Amino acid sequence: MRTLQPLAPTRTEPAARTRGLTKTYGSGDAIVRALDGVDVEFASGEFTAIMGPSGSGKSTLMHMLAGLDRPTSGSVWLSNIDISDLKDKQVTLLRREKVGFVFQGFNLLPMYTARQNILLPFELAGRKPDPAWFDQLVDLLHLGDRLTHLPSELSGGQQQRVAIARALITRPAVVFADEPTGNLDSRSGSQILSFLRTSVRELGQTVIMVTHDAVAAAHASRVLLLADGRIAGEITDPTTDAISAGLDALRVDEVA
Amino acid sequence: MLRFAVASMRASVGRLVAAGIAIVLGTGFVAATLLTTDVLRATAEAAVVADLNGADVVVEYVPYTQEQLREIEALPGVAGVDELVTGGVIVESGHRSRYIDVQSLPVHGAPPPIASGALPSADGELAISASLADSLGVAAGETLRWSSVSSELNGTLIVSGITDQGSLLLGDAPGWASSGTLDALRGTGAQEDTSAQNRLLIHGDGTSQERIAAGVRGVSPDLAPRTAQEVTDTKMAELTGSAQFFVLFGMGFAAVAVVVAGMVIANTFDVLVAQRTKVLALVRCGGATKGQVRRSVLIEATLLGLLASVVGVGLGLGLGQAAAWFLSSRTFGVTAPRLTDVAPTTLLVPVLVGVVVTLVAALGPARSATRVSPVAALRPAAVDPVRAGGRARKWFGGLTLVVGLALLVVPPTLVVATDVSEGVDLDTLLVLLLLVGVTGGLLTVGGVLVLSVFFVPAVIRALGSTLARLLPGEAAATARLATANAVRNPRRTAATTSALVIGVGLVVMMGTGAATARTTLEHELGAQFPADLLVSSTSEQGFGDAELEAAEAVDGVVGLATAWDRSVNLADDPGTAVMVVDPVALDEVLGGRSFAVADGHVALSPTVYERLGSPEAVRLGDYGMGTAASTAEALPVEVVESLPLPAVVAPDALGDLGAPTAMLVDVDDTRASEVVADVQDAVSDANPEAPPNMVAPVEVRATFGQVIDALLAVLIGLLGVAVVIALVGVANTLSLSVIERRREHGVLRAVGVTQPQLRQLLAVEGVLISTAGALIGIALGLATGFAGTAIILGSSAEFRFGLDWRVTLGCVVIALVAGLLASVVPARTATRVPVVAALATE
Repeated sequence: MRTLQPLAPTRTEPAARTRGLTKTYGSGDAIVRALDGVDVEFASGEFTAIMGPSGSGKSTLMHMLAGLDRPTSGSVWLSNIDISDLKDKQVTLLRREKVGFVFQGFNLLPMYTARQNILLPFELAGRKPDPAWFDQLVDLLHLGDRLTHLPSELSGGQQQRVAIARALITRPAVVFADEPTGNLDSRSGSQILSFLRTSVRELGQTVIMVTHDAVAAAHASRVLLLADGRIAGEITDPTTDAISAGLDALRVDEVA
Repeated sequence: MLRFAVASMRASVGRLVAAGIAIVLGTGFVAATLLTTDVLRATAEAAVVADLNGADVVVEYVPYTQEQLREIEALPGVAGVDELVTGGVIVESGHRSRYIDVQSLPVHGAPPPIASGALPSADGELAISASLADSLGVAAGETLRWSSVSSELNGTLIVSGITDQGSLLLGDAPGWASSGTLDALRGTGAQEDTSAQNRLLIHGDGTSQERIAAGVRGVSPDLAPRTAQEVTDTKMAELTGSAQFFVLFGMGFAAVAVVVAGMVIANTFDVLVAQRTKVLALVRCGGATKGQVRRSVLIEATLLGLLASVVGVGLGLGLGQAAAWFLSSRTFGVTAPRLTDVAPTTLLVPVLVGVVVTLVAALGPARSATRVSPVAALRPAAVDPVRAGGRARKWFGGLTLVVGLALLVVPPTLVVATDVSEGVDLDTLLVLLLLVGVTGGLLTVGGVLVLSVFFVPAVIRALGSTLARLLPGEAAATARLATANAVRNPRRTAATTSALVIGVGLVVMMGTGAATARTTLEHELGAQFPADLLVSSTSEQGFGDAELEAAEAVDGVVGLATAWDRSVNLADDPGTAVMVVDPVALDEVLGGRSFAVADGHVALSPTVYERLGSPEAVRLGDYGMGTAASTAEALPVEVVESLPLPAVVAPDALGDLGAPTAMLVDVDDTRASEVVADVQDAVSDANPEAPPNMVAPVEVRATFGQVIDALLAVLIGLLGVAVVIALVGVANTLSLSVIERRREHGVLRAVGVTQPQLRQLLAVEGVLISTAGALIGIALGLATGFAGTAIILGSSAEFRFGLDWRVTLGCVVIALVAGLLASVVPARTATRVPVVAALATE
């Protein structure tokens, strides 16, 4: 196996962190607390999964961390930059450089080829990508013979791999994955998850994944459990069973 | 499915409104055109009624005796008879003259309304209309000279008063005078029987018109009396018959607007259906049949068509009525139609047209709606790029285009390049060639439209990549992304631009045609007489220095050359006049073409030189009045290529000719008429005994140019509606794509596209689409415009292509601006949605 070029020298500060993060919708009696005073840190070079039942606030937490939405109160740091008060334009530019996304579906622009989709962040910035890095990623994700294809000509798994390549092309500080295996069969799904884990292990990438699938979360090195907008628990070096048990505990609390 | 259709409509109100605007404009146009018929009818009716002046029976233009007249007056039921005598004369005041009809004053009918002064009370007085008074520059109390058209009679008349009648659509209102005056004007003694030139207006006392007519017939059947009703009906039929042409003309343009609206509607429904895939799939899951789905779309289309058409009719009628009111307050003779005048067809036809067009336009999309499979409800679908079209389309379109171009190019080439030989009926040949050309034009346009699926994306890509090359880094990326977005659905983009292609193409065709016509005819005029103004002396002595100086001193006179327009001809070719003028002065006055002639030489144009057999010298002869200017010896010849006249000789070569008898004047084109009038006044003042003769080609050119410009403005205004509709279509497509691409825009913003960038993205897309449409339309318009005018005018020796830069560039600019504007609201919609909401899967 070839030695893959690692990322920048290992960072010591956390890739992302929040303090007292709160997001509410509505007011008065109808107020909904999506996040309620969340303090959390994500170390560099880690694969973290955020889990919880629906309505727990896990997607909201990811949106906050990625700068896609603004908190009602509290602070968010991304790569040591306080993004809670930044203007939309600045956050967007920050996202361009420092964040990679893999969504459950609809990742790709349908009229662009796989190659064009991967290079999209550079094109948007008007900069030239590093060809060696591009080739490495394509190799890693086994996309060599698919580069000229349109998304409609790719399978679900292949589309997700293109999405991962795009997410990694700018060597971001964090890769956010939102239910990346939700639309895939189990074989493609596990392939995707192992690619994500490879990127963490070999490339020093930080990945934060939101999922409801215990099997998927087991690929991570840390699982954060959320319930009712608060951190409800944490599991390190998780196994599928431990995760399932954790989730069940949350649900029991809920019903009770 | 009615409730489902209505609910769907309510959900898409915003988008349907934009489509509805297209129908409103189209049907409004139809309604306004139909209203014009009503206006014309009302106007004609009013004119005829005024003409009858309350009479019940009319005897016109047949001979009668005074005895018969007395008999008619004595008939039971007859209150009185007006014997209307008419004569036509030329009246003059100062330098201005006009031809008018003069009528005798009615006794029983209503007298013409007076604005100032009084009606004529004695012989020698005349009342004239306000518009005539204006154009002659006279007021009540002043004198006019009159002269007969057919004889030497002339005299003077006192203007007793000004009548309150403006110019009718059919000419100046008549002047009024006593019958004694009219006898003098017509030069008739008491002996002559001129009764056949008169009209008898017979007023009844309440008895039926038929009864009175019968009585008159009883006096003599040769009198051929007609009731007022008959006269009205006949005249109305005549007038509306010729008005029919204009109505058809207007309907032609309305048809274009409606067709374009139809294309926009089809496009809108296409995208609506595509955007509602999920809902349609759910409905099909729930058990709706294909037929029900199709019906729901068609119901929506019908409702939309109905609503929008009614609004359109209201708009068209409102605007038309406002215009008619405006006109009728300024010009006499245009009557604003009352509500009762508006025919039911004016209200119903546009609505019918609107509904039918919308329905037909929605048929295709309705069929697509049935093809949505129920499974689509479960499986989220991305909007995939669409394939452009098959080989069959390429072949069919290509063939049509090639044939069309051939048919378009051949006739004009034939006309321009070859000399039509004698013995061939030029008129029928031209008509034939024109038909061929028109067919060619239609096929070319058809071919381009069929192939637009390939053309339009190609043009957009070319524009987009040019733009990307010109812009710096980040902006270039936006341009590339916008280009990719614009061409991802070639069918939809082509459908959007097709409407624009038609509208712009027609506008440019008209503009090119008008410009070519103007340029060609200007050159024709220029070839026949190159100077702006020719002032000829009516005195035997010619022009004295006073007159020459006076003319030159007029403000607006740019140059002046003295000439002798005695009859100097070429002795061997008496048909060719020789202009005696100093060539240097002539060169200055004529501007542009520069030439020089050696002393003592006669300058000949190449055509004349060849015609005379290339002589080395020619003799000049004098055929008529004035000083002898014939030369016994022949004068040497110099051929001048750019000579604007057939032959020119300097006065020195002919000896002493005395004072010049003509002036060639170059005037300031922008104030041509004014300067011409001033020169006339100046020269007349300098020598009141002999006012000069004026021939002013510059005025003809100016008038001609004005007429063409006015016509063109009207045509473009009419076509402008179609262009506006097409641009609404662009806005439609953009706003609907924004909704379709919501999720995608969310991804883009997540990945790092800023809000301004997103707005720019849509702006560039809008500009690319509309500019591409305009460019293709311009190309087509130029081709058809050139070809058409080449056929019609190509046989003229002075045929020149003309290009109307204002119209052509104007179309590009409008397209650019409209593309930008079209993106404003969709861009706001796109950026207003929070990123998180856009990303959410439904």
